[in-house]
Amino acid sequence: MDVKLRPLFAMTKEAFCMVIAPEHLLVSVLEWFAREDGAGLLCICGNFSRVLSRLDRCCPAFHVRRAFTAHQLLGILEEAECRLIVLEHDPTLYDDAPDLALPVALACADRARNAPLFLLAPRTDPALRRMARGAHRIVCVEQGEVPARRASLRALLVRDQQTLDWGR
Amino acid sequence: MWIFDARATGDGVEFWCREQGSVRHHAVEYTPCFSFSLSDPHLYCGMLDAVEERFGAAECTFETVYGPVDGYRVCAGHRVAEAIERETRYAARLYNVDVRREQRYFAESGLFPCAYPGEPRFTAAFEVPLTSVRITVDAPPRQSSPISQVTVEHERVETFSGSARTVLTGLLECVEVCDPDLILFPHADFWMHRIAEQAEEFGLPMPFSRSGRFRSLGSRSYWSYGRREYRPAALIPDGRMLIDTDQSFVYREGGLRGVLVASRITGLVPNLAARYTPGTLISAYEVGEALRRGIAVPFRKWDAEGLRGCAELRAADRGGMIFQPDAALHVRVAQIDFTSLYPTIIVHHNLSPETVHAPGRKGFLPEVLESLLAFRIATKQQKTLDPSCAGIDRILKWMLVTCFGYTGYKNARFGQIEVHERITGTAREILLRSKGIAEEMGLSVLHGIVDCLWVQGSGVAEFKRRVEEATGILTEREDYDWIVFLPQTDGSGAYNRYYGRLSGGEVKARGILARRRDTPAYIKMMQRDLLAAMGEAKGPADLLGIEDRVRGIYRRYREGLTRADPEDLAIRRRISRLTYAGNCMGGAAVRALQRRGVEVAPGMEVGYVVRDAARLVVDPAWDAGTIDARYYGALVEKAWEEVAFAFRCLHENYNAAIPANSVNT
Repeated sequence: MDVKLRPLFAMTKEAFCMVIAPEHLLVSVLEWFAREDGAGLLCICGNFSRVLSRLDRCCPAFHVRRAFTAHQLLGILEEAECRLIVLEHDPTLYDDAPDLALPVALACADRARNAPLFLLAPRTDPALRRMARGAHRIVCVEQGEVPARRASLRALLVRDQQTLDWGR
Repeated sequence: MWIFDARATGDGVEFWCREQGSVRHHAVEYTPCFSFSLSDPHLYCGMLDAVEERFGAAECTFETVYGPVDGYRVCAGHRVAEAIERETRYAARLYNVDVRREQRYFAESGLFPCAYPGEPRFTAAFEVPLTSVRITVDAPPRQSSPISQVTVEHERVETFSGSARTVLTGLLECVEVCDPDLILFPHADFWMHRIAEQAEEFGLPMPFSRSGRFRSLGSRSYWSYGRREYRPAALIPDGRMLIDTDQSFVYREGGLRGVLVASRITGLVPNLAARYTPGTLISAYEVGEALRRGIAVPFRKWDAEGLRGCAELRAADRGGMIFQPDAALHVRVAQIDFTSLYPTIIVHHNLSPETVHAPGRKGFLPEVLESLLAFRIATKQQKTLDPSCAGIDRILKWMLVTCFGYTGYKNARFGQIEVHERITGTAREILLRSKGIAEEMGLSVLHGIVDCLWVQGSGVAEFKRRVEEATGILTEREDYDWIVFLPQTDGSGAYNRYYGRLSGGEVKARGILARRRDTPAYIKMMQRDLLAAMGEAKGPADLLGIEDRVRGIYRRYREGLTRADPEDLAIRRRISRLTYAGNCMGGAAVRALQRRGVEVAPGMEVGYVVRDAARLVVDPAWDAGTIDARYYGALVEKAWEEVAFAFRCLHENYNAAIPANSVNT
């Protein structure tokens, strides 16, 4: 499966790609993937997803699994049977297991041989930097001018999400 | 043999017990094994050979909550276990790696602390054959405080005062002579370090430990229910119970018998049970029960939730049900509380990680919580006849409260988020069903929050009976002569802020300033005095009759504010961090304490008095002089507003829906 993230970046199969971009772009990426192949998409996130909560309510359905520990994430990656995986990075998973960042990245690369895997993160952090060693491709999108239409959404992005509350 | 302390040694376990009237010390050899399994062992045959050769790993089948698992047993420590993890790139699933050795020994030997062999664990009636002393250092627990006076209470009261050397010599000799099994000591975890340092400096022996050795428990900052908590480092002597009566949550809530019960049911020695949180206790209880049943305890949390669609996840990921009240004063209201709702749901609905997708089998969690729940229900009934059981009841209540939250905790050994979601889902159905029953019976449901309902109307006794019959869960009833549900800032009813007069005359309040931990003592006193006066009124007419007196109390406190002792205006709160991004009182308090040489750690409780709120200037409570009268005046007003709301309701006839004949029976 060849997928396009943005016109500039063409993603190929068997790739573990890290996408570091402003949150509204990450939301667009997930929505785009869901529209392309919702039935074959698995989204993996942590306890407090900042992307899932901002999806358009018309976004096609897809499967979700949450990992609250890095070990759970490894288990989910091992069990994943899907055509595309989107992993929303949760740095808190590595708070008490910093050594697991690289094994998780290697598991992501391993899993990507069967299904392209996109790791989405709004910013870098120590865990992500360790994981970068296992990634096939890293895409960084800098925060530019936020369109006015998104201004109110940006205000929402500031607060930490506490529960899963879809739709906007 | 009544075991009251134990420790793990290099090759076994040592424990101290009361046996035939004297203290005995036992040392036993005991080397526990850990187990692991691999989904594809052939991938790691080189590593398996090495582990077999060096540590005698053997193939075995062991029990887990999910059923028997084929794997390997290794008699080695946790470093070997972690090396196996790394070698297998975390594919190995390890069990029984980090269980406390003495707890495991007790579980496998059929022993438990603080009880005679064969004695039932789940009972509030038990003997305590310990000798004890109470030590008090007559100084605040601060680095700068000299140890100039110490009081020891045993058969008589002895006070040692003078130079630090004189005081310590007297104290240490007294401990040696008394040779107590139990030492109750406010701020022990602070003072023991000072005492040990100074004893070494003066060349004095430390008879606190019966073996001469001490175990140290490191200081720790941690998050608990959204709050930063701090546990100070502890120096625990061998062979005695040393309880910090001020810092120990379990002791404060449950007293000595509460600590002993926590120890008996978890299998942890009392020195640890007294220092752990209820969450750690329930975790230890589950671990102990697993060991007693021969079930391996997972080292890591790897069993994730199942695959779900977005909509399914959204529907499941919800909390407790709340019916928002009208902000108003209501008369003749009954509160119906479900007893231990969440634990009962776990037991009655067989909710456990292994039963989420296989509901036919008996779950581990329901099985182990059943005994604890039955013990709590029995203790709760018993405490009405025997008030000495109240502490035990509170500890059991805390443990059962946390057992629900623990099912959703990311590192819970026997928890899973889907269990957590099913518990809250079932609780929502129960509250909805109960509301339906109330409305069918013509009762008005004024408010509902997770596990209790406030209803108004006649036939409450029958309502209670029907709810218990429909849900199978016991309930408790409290009757209010009047109750005030306070408003939120937008005027709608607040979910968790109310006060009212119970039919016995006592005033019950929740969520208001008088109940908040960070409210200064002066403000608390004022609000309590106001409510005490209002508690004399049985109904709206009586309330109006005492309004002037209540307003007088308010004026007295408002006018007395500038003469108040600054210590009574101290705001006590836990600091969540040491550096704050923005300017705030918390940051100002940290800086003020650090300037005075206090070592501050996240989770510590600090007390400060606001000197200038606009410029964020605060002083530590013990060093406060002037106060910001305007800042504290606003707090007085805020406390008064919560009380004045009741009178506003009465004057504005805010609540017009009280039928004259609405008497609860």
